[in-house]
Amino acid sequence: MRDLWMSLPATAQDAALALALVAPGLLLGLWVMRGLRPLPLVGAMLRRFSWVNGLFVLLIAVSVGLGVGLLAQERGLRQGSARAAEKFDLIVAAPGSEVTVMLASVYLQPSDMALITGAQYAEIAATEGVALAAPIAFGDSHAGAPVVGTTADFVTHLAGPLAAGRSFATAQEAVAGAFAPVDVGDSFTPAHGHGAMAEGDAHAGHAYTVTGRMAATGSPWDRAILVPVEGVWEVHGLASGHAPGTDRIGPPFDAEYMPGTPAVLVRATELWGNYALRSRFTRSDMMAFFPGTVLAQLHGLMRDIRSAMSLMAGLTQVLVALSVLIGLMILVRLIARSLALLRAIGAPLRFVFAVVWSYCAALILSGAALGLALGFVAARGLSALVTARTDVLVTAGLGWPELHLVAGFVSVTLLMALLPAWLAVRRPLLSDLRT
Amino acid sequence: MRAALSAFALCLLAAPALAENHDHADHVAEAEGLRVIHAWAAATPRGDAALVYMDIENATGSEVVLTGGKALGQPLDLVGFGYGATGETWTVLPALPLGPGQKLMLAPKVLALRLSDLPQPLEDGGDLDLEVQFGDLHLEAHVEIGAADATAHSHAGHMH
Repeated sequence: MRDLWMSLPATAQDAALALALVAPGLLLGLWVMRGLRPLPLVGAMLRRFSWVNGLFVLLIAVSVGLGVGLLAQERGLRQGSARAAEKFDLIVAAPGSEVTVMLASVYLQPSDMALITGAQYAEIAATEGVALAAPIAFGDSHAGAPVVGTTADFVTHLAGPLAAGRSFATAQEAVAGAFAPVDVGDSFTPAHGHGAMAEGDAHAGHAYTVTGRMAATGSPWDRAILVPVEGVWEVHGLASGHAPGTDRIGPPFDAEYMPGTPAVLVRATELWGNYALRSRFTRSDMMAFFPGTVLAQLHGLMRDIRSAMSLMAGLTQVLVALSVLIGLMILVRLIARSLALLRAIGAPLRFVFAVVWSYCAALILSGAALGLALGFVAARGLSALVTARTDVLVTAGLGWPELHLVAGFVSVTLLMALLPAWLAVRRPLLSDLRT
Repeated sequence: MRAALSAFALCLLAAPALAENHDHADHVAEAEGLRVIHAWAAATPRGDAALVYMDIENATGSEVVLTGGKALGQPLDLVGFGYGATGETWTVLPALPLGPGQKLMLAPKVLALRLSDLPQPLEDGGDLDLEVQFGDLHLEAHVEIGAADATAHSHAGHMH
């Protein structure tokens, strides 16, 4: 059985699980309504108390929608942050915190870091199997956007062919990220540092001209401005990475004239090479790590929080449904005379039971369906908000986990709806008729 | 009486040393300059895939190539970890060269030897005999089984 389950495609497993979750509710409905046609009467009840019914449906929908929206958003954020790191195969930096280096080099969160020296960079770049060794030098900004020094090869690696213009060809040229606050042809002087404390005139006399714009990557690099690493060194009054009199940019750099870089993105010629290079550059004077590994570890730590969120979302929904059912029990008292009349004219108890259960089921199903729609809208809204705040493209949509949550909720609450139906048929007929 | 006490004290003093030797033998496998240190795996139920981790040191003076392994009568694949928008993946790697004097770390969410479809469960506190394959050179190693949520060998950080 286990082998059969494991042999199924993931979609088939998800669909089977959703079906298994909703099946108790469906089977219960078939059992309650077998041989009966209570729906016309249920329709009349829904119309008669339309305002109250609408309120109950809305309560269920908001509860389901919040749970669905939060779950979808959490997944979207996880996927978005992982997607943003996909291009960063292997990062080599001075020994320290992998998380700090990852946040600085992948998500462009500024941080003070020790530097990889020119000699170390030269060793990395010259190692057999290294296809790309791109310095990532951050620390400056312009109009709130980070200005990052690197190489033209890194620009191509990160975003593919440029969306507009051409790549930088001199130390005074720049390429803008897809949503960076500069246009092709603009010139700007970088500020030293980031945020409110950035020193706007620290690099007076130096300017970059934007020559191209990258395609969108869905990462914080879309807001960045990329410049030749030689430009970053020069505006800080350092050597240019090349022997004096050399008028070119890009690798190879001269170790003697290379001031250092906070991080180096390394890509091997073969997939397996990245793993060998990681081991090779993990030593006392430098560290190498896969951002994907660090991110997966962080997301792994959040797994418990995610489980707690799912449980809380489910519990909240069931509690809301319970309060709605209590409200329905009160409503059943209001329609007790009508139900008693039904019984008086010969309707079997099972029919009255089916009417009340179907009425509750209609409210639950409508609320759940509306909740899914609300959850979708909430997830989209939250995604836009998170994307604007973090520059990490988050695209949250409804997936199987949300459908499983709603399927489970529907089954549990349909089971709970047996209670008001049971109470309705237990009511004393004569006293209800006299009411 | 004094002699008996002295002998007892000597036994007590010798015990840690003997234990250390036992630990060393358990935690290090060595042959022809190749060392496999701290091989471990997390407890895994039968039928699942078990991932085995270890540190490898090459002091042979020449390049060796890690190709895989063998345990419980089954081959082990060398697999590399990947993480992206689609989630976690383990990709089978053909082989991994290890230069003279170099070290290779097989670690969780990085690199591992994978034993697919376990014929028997790996239980916490148990062990597993493993053959690490470097082409034609095979090295017998002892794998310590940790808890299902273990993230490192129980002696990680100890020097051997």
